[in-house]
Amino acid sequence: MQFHPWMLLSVGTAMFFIGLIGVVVRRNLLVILMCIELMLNAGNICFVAFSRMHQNLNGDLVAVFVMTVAAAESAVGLGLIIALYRTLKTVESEKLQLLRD
Amino acid sequence: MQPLFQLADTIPSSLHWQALSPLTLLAVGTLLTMVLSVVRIQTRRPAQIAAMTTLVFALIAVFGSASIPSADLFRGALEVSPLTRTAWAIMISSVLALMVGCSRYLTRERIHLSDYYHLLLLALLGACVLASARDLLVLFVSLELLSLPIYTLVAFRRNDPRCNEASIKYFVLGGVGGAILLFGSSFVYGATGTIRLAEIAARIPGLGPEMSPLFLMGWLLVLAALLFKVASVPFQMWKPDVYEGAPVPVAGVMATLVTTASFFALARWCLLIPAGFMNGVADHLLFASAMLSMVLGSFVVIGQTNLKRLFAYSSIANTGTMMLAISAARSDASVIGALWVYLAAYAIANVGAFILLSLSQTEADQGVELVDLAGLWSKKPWIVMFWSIFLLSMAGFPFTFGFWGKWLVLKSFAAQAGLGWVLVVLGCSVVSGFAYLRPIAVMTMRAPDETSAKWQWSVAGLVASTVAALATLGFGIYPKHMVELLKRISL
Repeated sequence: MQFHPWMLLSVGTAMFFIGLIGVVVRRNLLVILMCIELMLNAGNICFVAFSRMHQNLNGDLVAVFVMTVAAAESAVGLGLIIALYRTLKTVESEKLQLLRD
Repeated sequence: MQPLFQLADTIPSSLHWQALSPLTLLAVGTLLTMVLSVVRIQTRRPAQIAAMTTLVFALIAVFGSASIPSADLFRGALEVSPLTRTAWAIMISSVLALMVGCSRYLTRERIHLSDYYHLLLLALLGACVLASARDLLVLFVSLELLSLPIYTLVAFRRNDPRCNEASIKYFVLGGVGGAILLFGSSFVYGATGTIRLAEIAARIPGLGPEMSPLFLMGWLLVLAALLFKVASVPFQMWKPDVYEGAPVPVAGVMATLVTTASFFALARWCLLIPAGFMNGVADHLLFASAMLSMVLGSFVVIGQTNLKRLFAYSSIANTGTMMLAISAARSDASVIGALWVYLAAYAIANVGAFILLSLSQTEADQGVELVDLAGLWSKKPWIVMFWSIFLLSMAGFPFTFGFWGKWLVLKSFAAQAGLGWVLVVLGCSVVSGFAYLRPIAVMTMRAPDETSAKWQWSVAGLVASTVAALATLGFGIYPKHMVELLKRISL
């Protein structure tokens, strides 16, 4: 089967929107964290696809860096969720109603 | 051996290390502070001293390298120029002033841990790199390096549920913002085939009708992420909540560090594509966002009674004004200097205001309300004097530094926009001016309340806020040197 960049791009774009919709509709903070990771990886897939399209390594390079950043981000996110659970005893985003106008 | 930096050299390679010395010093100092805070976990003093020494040396390095001409290092990924040195000087001195001025707050709130210092330095390092990023990858990584420590710092009072809530809100929205930036920059890369901003700018005119929409979509997505960082409408909703929940010094860092760094990156990103590209979609969107932020911030700020929320909404209004400067600079790049003046004035005023905020002691620690200011004039007149200086500078009153920022932005805007828009902007300035006068009125006119907060000077707070107040008044009354200097710095 012949490779075409649009195949990868459509996968990347679909993943991005699945992640975005997940952040908006889901209530559990852990699932929201996973959706953010999904969005980051969607960006990675697009970079790799375009890298293949342009026949240069810039996009592949970005993907390697982004994987590291995504790992750091999920570590910070999990830490914050644990801190939240210790004080509020919940990881549901709709229970966060202390700060508002 | 291959040389470390390979690029069309505008400066001799012997100057490369000197040009980079502020960033190098910051990075080394950050790692050192991190090690100290792990090794000496019981006492915070070594980390505190290491952090402050690092900041002082980095500041000296910024001024020491001031004579080196502009250069793009690391194959064009990082710009070192008078522009980036301006950004570094503003950010490093703001963080230093806040670190000194708010040190007693941390002890009093029992959050004086050594981790505070290395997280702050990490965020500063990210901010400094973000201000000089000339590459999509560096842009993303430095934005995350700026954001991740700030998420943690917002949650620093970790037994306070409001603090945790603020940091989770910021984290989720900021994480989505980062992902949108990455997704958008992949489209920009896809359309142009390069991740260097200079090469992207050179290839934009040659984009065919196929690639232009792809490029514009990527550009807009990255723009949305940067607008989120500066809290411009429609991405402003997180700011009041996060400010209210965050500890006072951290809110101060967000108001100065995050705003300054993001605006330097935003200005560069907005001036990347020419005015009128694809029917001027970008121009219209920027203008609409600027106007809406200004109107929303100015009108909502009036009703605020919590001081941190008040500063949050005022920063949304100020963001709108600064976006106007960018919007005006898109058709005439020479007026961008107004933005640097505005940013410097705004950073100094915020540093002062947040140091003063950290001097108050409220009972329930629900944050400082307007009531807590009542009768301050009869008890601590000097605090009132300092408050007035900073609040008037934020409002843009004459004889303060803030006036010159607002004046230059309005002048460049009025040269291009119609009279109607200028009147709208002036109206917003007047309306938000009342919001800044209200705390001053409460301090001087209302009788003291039983429940209002106790205000007490600390030596460090006095020193830091005096420096900020002198800078605000000095650059306001004698604008010749500072304002002229900043005004001439081009992008």
